Amino acid sequence: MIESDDDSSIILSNDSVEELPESIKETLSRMGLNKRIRAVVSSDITPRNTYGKTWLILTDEQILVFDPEASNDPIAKVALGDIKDVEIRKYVGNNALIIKTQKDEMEIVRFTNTLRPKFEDLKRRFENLYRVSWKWSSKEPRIKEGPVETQRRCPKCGRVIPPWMSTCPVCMSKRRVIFRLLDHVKPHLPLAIFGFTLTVCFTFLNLLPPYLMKILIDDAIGNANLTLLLWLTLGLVFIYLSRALTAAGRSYLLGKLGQKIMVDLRRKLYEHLQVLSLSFYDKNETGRIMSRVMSDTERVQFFLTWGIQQFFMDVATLIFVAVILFTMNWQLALIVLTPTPILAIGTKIFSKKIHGIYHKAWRKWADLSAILADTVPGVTVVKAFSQERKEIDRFNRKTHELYDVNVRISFLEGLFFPLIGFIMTLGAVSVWWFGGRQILSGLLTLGELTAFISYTWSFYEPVGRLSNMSSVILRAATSAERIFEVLDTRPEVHDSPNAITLPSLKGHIQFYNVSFAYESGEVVLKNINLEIKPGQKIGLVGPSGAGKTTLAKLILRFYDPTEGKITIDGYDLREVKQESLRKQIGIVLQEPFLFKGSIAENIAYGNPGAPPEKIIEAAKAANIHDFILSLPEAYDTDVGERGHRLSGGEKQRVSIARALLRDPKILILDEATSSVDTATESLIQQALERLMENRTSIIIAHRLSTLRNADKIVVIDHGEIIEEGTHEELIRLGGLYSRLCRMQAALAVISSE
Amino acid sequence: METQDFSVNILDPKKIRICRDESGRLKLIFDEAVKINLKRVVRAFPLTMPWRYIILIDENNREIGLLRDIKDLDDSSRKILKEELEKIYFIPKITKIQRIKEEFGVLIWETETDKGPRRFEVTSRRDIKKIGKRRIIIRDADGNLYDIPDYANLDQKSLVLLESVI
Repeated sequence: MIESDDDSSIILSNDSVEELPESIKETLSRMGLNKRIRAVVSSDITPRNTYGKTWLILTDEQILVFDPEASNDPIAKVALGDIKDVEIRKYVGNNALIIKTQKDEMEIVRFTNTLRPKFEDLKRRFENLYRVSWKWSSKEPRIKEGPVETQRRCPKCGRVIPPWMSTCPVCMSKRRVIFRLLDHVKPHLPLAIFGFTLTVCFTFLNLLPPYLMKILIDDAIGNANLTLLLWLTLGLVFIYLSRALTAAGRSYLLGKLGQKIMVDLRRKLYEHLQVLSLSFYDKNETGRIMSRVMSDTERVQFFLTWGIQQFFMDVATLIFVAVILFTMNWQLALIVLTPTPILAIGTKIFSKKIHGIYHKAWRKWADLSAILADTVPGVTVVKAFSQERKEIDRFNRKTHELYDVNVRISFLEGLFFPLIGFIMTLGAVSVWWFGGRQILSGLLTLGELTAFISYTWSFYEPVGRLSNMSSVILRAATSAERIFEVLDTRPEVHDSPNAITLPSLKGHIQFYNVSFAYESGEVVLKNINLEIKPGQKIGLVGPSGAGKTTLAKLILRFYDPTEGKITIDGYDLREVKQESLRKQIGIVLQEPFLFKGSIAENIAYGNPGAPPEKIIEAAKAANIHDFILSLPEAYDTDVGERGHRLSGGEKQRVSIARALLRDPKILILDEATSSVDTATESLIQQALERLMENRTSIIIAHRLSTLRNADKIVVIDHGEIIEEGTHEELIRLGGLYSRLCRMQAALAVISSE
Repeated sequence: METQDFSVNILDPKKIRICRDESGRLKLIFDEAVKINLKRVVRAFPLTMPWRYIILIDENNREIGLLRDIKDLDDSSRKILKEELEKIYFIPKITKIQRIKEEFGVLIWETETDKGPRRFEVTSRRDIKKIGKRRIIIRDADGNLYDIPDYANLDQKSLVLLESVI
């Protein structure tokens, strides 16, 4: 269908050719275009605003749009030569492909978010072709090939992969995961084997008493043999005692094994989490990561120790007991077996049903605690807007929902367990009936029957547990998957094997043609060329989202540039050890992050073991010393979680002290003064001035007054440097910077009035 | 960057008219005199008040003003605006739920909507949002939205299926 001349390879790929409906094919061949198709793409919304296919056909000369359900003829035609630009406009729940021509723009097709990746890809391919043909003579595509992934679907089966999984749960091999899990038992093999041996002993000891009981009834009591009775009684006591001891030993060993495995897993996970790049944290929610470290490891260890042991124990018991039952009396054994399928199937159905309801109860419970987590810290707002009544009602409603679910659980459990018990009793009672008749006809002794009944009970128990085993394995495999996903993620920013340790820096930073896009494909920085000389103070200015913070993060090498390179003192950042780089950079963020601990610990966070006088010196320079001293516990004052006991300005100054103590060669201030009042600001400003002395400083600021003393001001908008120069030069230039300055001056007048 | 204006310009529905030009773009006509090209119309409360509080935005991304209720407009303007809003906010209404299947925590919905049959996946129960007493808005794994304006109006089977997931 497609001719493959040299140019077409740029736009064509397998996924931009779809099978057209016959009616369109006919029209196309009538128009004489069927040989010149370059791409065929279908959307999933019709021009009539319903679900359905609209076809977009790209030929050498034009774009055609078909709505086969409405008409066989194209509903729109655009000549490629007229096209100025192509845009995908995001609406709500759908998107439109907009084509802009010299005089006009038109919406040629709409599609749901599900198809967005396909159309993004089409747009990119189209742009490549278009640029090659009309703008540049160079044939080299400027934008990298390959579709942008906006959501994850399994390449094999097309299912949405749950955000908490790395691979498709349907296509993932459970066995592989479980075997990989078992690897974690290996380092503790002696413990595991010992525990397992005890488990086998325990199973065996469980099976002995009924047999002794038989001898006791038939031989000791039946034959009035007092000596035998005594020995048997002693024997029983001994067995029960050993069983108790074995059980205790087993619990201890398996518990220890479980904890060891868990400690290992958590340590590995946490170590790996610290190594991972920031992009991993961009992609995963904090709560998810936390639950992997806490609950997934817990579940996995439970499975590895108790789950597996219980499984073997149940299987062993089942087989042993079956053998015993059949050797003792096969007719009765068959009767015992009859309710087994009902037990197995019943348990399976019940656990499936109750699992859903347990889950629901868990969700309701989570809702309830979410309300608490919301309103308790937000109590000031609740009271200020006098919404106590509303909050109480909300809480009551949720409590009642939880109540309903829990009552349902009680009902189902209350129904199921007695029912299962009844079925088991039925089995046992039948044995009494048939066994009783056999005794009467002399085929069976009373002792044998008693033993038989005992074994019957120990046969039924594992049946229920085993029929539920598959869901236990499934849950453990899912948890294990989540853990392995983290462990398998390779940090995107990593030290190359021959990375060098940076020597003490002068602080000469250079950006060469740096472009950067986040993984989502969103381009944040475009072609940045920038030189910052040692000791210079550079101000970065621009609207929110212009890319200022990203630029700073690139200097810290939290991410690597997508294109171009950054050097410091001539060293390419990709070729130096991350630690040696970050050691020499200090950063003060807009929202300072303090860790749980004392003020002193927080100041010394980057330099553990710094002498106290240095800490005090730093605090003095940061204008926080006097405040700290006014606290009853001074430098030992606990700042609380995330420093919540300090005000914003206080936290900020603590973080400045932290940066000062580190004595970095390069300093990055990311809107360090934007969230504090004017009086505090001047305190912080003084501290910052001190901090910036003799250092290469990069200051990201909204308040332009902070930049008066900067050696150079760089204005960034939409990821590009649009102005560069000193304050005076930029004012004279009359561009964005001067406009921002005028605005802020006007605001200052208003606020001082 | 212009100085920000925090006041809201409320448009008088009697003084404005909305029409489309030849290429289908929206135009706002003030007092039968001033013509402004509209870049976008935005709902301030897309879920709770879809037909009220519509904000009109001009080609330079400047806010022209706020329309309190589209029903105050003349018939033709209202029709055009309604059409445009329905296009921009593609939120099909679910009329019937055929099946909701759970696979590894992902809910797979098979539904009938006013825009035709639709199958979609929901990965988080938080994406099934209850608004008010009986309205439900669902966001699928791809970010598409679906609306159940009043779930009490669903048939028994759909209702049972819905109940099982909320």
